Amino acid sequence: MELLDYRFDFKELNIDAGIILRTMGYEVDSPEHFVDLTLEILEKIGSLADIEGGIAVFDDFTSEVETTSFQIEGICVHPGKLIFNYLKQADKGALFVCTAGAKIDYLIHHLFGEGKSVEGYIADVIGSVTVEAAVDRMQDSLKNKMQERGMSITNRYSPGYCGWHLKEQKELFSLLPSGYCNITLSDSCLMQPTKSVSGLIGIGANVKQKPYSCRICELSHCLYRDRKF
Amino acid sequence: MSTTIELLSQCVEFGKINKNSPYPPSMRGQDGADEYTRLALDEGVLPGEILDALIPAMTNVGVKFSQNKIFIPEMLMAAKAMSESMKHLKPFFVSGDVQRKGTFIIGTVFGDLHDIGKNLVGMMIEGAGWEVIDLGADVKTERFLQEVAKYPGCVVGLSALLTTTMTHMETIVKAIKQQSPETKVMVGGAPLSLDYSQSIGADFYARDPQGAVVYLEKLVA
Repeated sequence: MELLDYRFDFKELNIDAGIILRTMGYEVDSPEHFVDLTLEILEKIGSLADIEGGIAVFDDFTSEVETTSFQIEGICVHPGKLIFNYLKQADKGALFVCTAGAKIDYLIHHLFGEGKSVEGYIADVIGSVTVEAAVDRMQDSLKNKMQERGMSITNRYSPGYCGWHLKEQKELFSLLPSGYCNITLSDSCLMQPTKSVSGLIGIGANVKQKPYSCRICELSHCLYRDRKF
Repeated sequence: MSTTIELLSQCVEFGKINKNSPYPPSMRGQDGADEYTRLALDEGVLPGEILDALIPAMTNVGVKFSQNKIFIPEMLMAAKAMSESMKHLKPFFVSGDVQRKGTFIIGTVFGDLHDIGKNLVGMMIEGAGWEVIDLGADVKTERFLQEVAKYPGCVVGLSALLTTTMTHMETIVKAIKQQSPETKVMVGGAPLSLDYSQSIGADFYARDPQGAVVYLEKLVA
């Protein structure tokens, strides 16, 4: 297993108010009050974010068509038929985790606890955008590394989505060093800190990354389907 | 409808909490839901009439949200203004002078921490005159069952954002129906659909907060 560690400064992720406001739905003419609040909370989160992540690249990665599952160093994961089909050509598997840190969680809870629900919501959105932006960087880095070795990567896929059951987080985390990136799992397999993501990326000569992975989902009615973020 | 009530209704719809609240900028410096509710009570308006004024205001908010004319922040501001008004009405709920339409128990199912949508639905339903028991996120089946037993005649709302946690809804719906067959259960969340809600035995699928309010209104009509 090859382990790639990452740390990001909030500023280098270039998350500005425009991205946050668009994520909240404001394509144009964002209300001034919410612009101001967003800027204020971005400033706060800038000093609180503790963004770290890692990618574990496994050579021992085999697909089993009959069970639509993968064996990763002896651990079996079942991401569901849909994701299996996107990863099955991969020669290696890259397991990624990333977190925006526990302090963002505290801020979100503190704001909601104080009855500042709008501020809490904005902080929540910034936390989500932050961790996704960090994983975007990690994915780009992996892509470049693998390109140097003559390989491509797939999109990233996470437990909880596209039919991949959340309980498989346990299998994924068992493949990582204990306490890796300071992320832990709850009884319900939810990650703590909450602004964390995990998942798999396929690597190989015959795989490719697609522009927008949400479109592969079978849930054509999903309210988030046409969201850009 | 008295002028005070009309102004209160506008404050709730546009999220004007109190005089000091800077939002919305067009109402800066004006009284808000806090002041107008107190004024209405001082003028002798019945608490039930005040509640009746909040309901259409929140309905308008729900409709605008459904139409993408406003987004979650505006909705949260309206809900905060409504809560400010409700603080003055709470004593009348406790004394029985004002009757709530019923009890609504809501929670995000176990394995899922997403609660913004659930919170919005809870706020809208409270604004529609219901007592809302919010169980939070990552709520296990047993907790729903305990609360259903505590509040006979309640309606239950289940929320989930993940495709894999929405499957937990079926477990919860079945357990509730087994314990209390007459209890109505509605479900909602981004990945859900009407077909899915029917397949798991839920009574209603709420596509958005307003849909949930409309369903509850029908139940008590």
